[in-house]
Amino acid sequence: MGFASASLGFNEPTLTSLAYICYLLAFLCYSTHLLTKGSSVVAVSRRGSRLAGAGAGGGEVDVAISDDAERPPFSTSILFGRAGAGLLFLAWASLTAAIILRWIEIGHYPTVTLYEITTMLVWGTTTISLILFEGALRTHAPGAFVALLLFCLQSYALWFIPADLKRPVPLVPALRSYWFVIHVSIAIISYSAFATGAGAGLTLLGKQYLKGRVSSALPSSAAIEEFMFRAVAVGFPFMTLVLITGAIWANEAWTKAWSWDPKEVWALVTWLTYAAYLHVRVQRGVRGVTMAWLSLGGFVVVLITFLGVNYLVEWFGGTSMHTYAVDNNNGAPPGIGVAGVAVILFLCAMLGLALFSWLRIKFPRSKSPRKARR
Amino acid sequence: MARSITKASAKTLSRAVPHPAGPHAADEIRKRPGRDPIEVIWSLFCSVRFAVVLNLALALASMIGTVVPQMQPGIQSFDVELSQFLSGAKGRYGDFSGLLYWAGFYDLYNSLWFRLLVVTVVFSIVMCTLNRWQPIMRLVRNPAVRASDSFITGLTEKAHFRGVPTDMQGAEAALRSALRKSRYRLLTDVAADGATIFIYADRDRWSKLVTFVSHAALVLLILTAAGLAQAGWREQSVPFYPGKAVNVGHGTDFTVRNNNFWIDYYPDGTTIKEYKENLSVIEGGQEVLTRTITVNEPLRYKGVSFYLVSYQPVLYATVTDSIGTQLPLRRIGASGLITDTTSTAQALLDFQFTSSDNLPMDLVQLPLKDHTLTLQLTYYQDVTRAAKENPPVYLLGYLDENFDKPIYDAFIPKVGPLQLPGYEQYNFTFTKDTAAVMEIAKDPGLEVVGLWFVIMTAGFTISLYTTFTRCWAKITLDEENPGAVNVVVGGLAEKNKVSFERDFEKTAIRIRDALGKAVVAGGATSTSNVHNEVEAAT
Ligand code: HEM
Repeated sequence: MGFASASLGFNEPTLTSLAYICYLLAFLCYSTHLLTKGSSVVAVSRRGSRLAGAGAGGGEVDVAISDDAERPPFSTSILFGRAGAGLLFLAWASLTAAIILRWIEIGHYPTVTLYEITTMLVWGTTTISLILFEGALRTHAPGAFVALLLFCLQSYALWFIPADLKRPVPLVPALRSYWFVIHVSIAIISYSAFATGAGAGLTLLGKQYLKGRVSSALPSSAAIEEFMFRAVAVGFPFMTLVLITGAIWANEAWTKAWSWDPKEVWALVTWLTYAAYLHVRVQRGVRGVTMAWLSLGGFVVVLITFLGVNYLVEWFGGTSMHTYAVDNNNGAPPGIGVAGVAVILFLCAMLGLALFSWLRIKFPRSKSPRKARR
Repeated sequence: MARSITKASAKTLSRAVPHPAGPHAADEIRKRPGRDPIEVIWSLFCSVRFAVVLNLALALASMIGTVVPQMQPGIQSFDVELSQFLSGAKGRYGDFSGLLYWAGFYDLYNSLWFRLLVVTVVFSIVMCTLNRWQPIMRLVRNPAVRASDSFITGLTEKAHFRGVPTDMQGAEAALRSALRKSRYRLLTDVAADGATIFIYADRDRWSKLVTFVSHAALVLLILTAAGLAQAGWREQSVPFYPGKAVNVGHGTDFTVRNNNFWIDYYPDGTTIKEYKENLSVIEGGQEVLTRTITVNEPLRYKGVSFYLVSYQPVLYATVTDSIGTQLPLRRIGASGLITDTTSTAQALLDFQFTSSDNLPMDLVQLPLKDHTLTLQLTYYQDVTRAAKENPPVYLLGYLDENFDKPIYDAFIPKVGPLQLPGYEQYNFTFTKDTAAVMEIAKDPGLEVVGLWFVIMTAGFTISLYTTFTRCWAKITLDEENPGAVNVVVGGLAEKNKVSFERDFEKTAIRIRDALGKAVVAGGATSTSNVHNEVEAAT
């Protein structure tokens, strides 16, 4: 996978490759989980189970039970769901070990090169989706989509970034600050949460467009949409903190709190995009697929902010004080192989679709109480 | 409809017609755009849809500045650099370049239209807030306690309890205790004929007000930052020569001296690890502060920040006579900000080698009795050599001030002092050193901006993690079962509706249990019946 030395053992390349394989297997298990989740099982666990009320009249409490709350005790589907979760956890554990090994080896927080930062994004997204989906919300449903997203992200890190850029580089003076650790960690949390939101967005698209088994195996759109909101609600305050800590750090190291550096600008753009997401959702009450596209569009912006600014700066001849160490091949842009073209096409396609659905946003006129009263 | 219930013994309420306003209260109350242009603009700025569009427009505009090369700040006042930049831009964009320049795209973030966009966003936030103030305050202060049956049954979350064998007061008490347990605040109203009790319950209503705080902080943040950008001052690329003090100016009464500048390397010996500079602040002739700074640790004194941004090589020239006395040298430099060196008998040469055609213009003059020796430095390379060796310096020497009588045209000797032919009694020595290049700035009020930032972040976080939640309940006598009552409860959450399902389910079970207890307490006949069903359900 383009590592300089890739001998098998308890070392960074092996552990990273193990994580990579686990993501693929997790994707397969989670997919099988969805495909084998029989529709009869789903019907049982669907909303509308009635609780008997007090009194002779046989009153009803019309409350939904959570989709996964009444799982049958054992089935193939559940087994695959748990296997997927286990593999995702295994991927997380081996990636954690790989990162720690690299940290120890290079002696500083491993978020300097494009490769390191992408690995951190993969790690963070795994962490947050494990906590949010498997932990807090107790659902395997978005697993397949999240694992696919993670597999793609790690493919970019492993195949697209050339081997000589995977080598660690020493910290330059401007990065030698505790703000480096604080600011970058917060950014990783924020971007990982947005990535998790994008995973939920893909799930919602799956619910909408993959008819049949998969669609019926997934929880209701409203529920998925809420998972997505939860992820964005984690990401947004952290994104605000990214801007604050960035400004504080810039005021120490770059003489000015804000200097319209491309990286700063893209962080602002990310923030504004997700602010738009929240306003569209909270005030306009927009729900459903539109929100999924907004979330994916927001994630494209995140990718540009986090990884793409390097390329933008090189392609459009700008300057940034913020680029990761990618230009140690004499300032020439990294060679864009087939993988690169694929990644770029994927991003463009996603951006295009996001834009398309964006333009189609139909803000519903106020729809709740008046209609409800009728 | 609730209108049919006559307005009577209202305990705390002012409004008899229920207006259980939903999350779109503002939109409902918003005036329809009329013909009046002011009203059209007003309603435009009050619309959240417009705010979203503005938000995205601001994002898009900011993005453009990252793909169109931006001019260095202040470049407009340097003709050469400006025309260089513009010809580069012309190569990139061809004939469009002029248009882009005219439209401010090369200095996008300072352009008029970008500023107007920011002002529009601020205006939109303010208008939206003002517009929403009243309806939200009404929602919080004077909620509609009475809700119609159809309103409650129209809600997605609701619970019916029919024929509960207890009296109205018992049921009310049960509901109150159950709702309190679920952290609701309660308001009650009784219909005139006493046949209906309305209960309104809400939770986290203050979270509606947090939005005002956070958006106000956002507006103040933008305004303060914009205002402060004009205040304060900034001096860029100020060389701090070794051992020399720099007068800060701008009404300050202290100077800052560079005691030493050095570079720390990683163990490989070539990769730079840290730039360090030891500085002293001198105030009233006294040294009041001495500190070593790095790139990430600027010196702050009396609100003025000293940032280490770069460094440059400097060269000292010294001349001694045959008995070793230093003679006064005069230096004529191309750049200013250099102390008079005549008195210090040491000429400091200041170079900024950026390219080979950027040759130094500095001259060193040794005034003698009847004429002046002039040395012009034409080449210098900042390389480290063995301890006793001179740096590579190429000199032109003249017998006069008009460069008419050349007497030297070579590198200085590799070791030992330079002696000019015919002037062997004078020893010229050159020592290299490094000057720190600093940026000095005063940015007052950044703490205030930070405060707004913190308030805003806290506000957003609270908004995202609290949900304004309301329940309406109605207790009526059961017409089919004398001695029993019907209870209907409906709930509405503004966000997180799916999670609210679970939350409401919990509340409904609490109500059911409380009603069960009320039955026990009232000693009604069907006690056991109720309990059985409760157990079956749980
Ligand atoms: C452009 C003009 C803006 C307007 C008119 C506006 C208006 C509003 C309104 C009316 C609410 C909802 C209040 C409620 O329902 O209780 C809201 C919520 C919010 N706004 Fe804004 N806002 C604007 C800009 C921004 C910006 C620039 C940000 C941050 C980047 C932002 C972040 C938020 C957040 C985080 C919430 C809370 C969302 C929630 O409750 O889930 N807003 N805004």
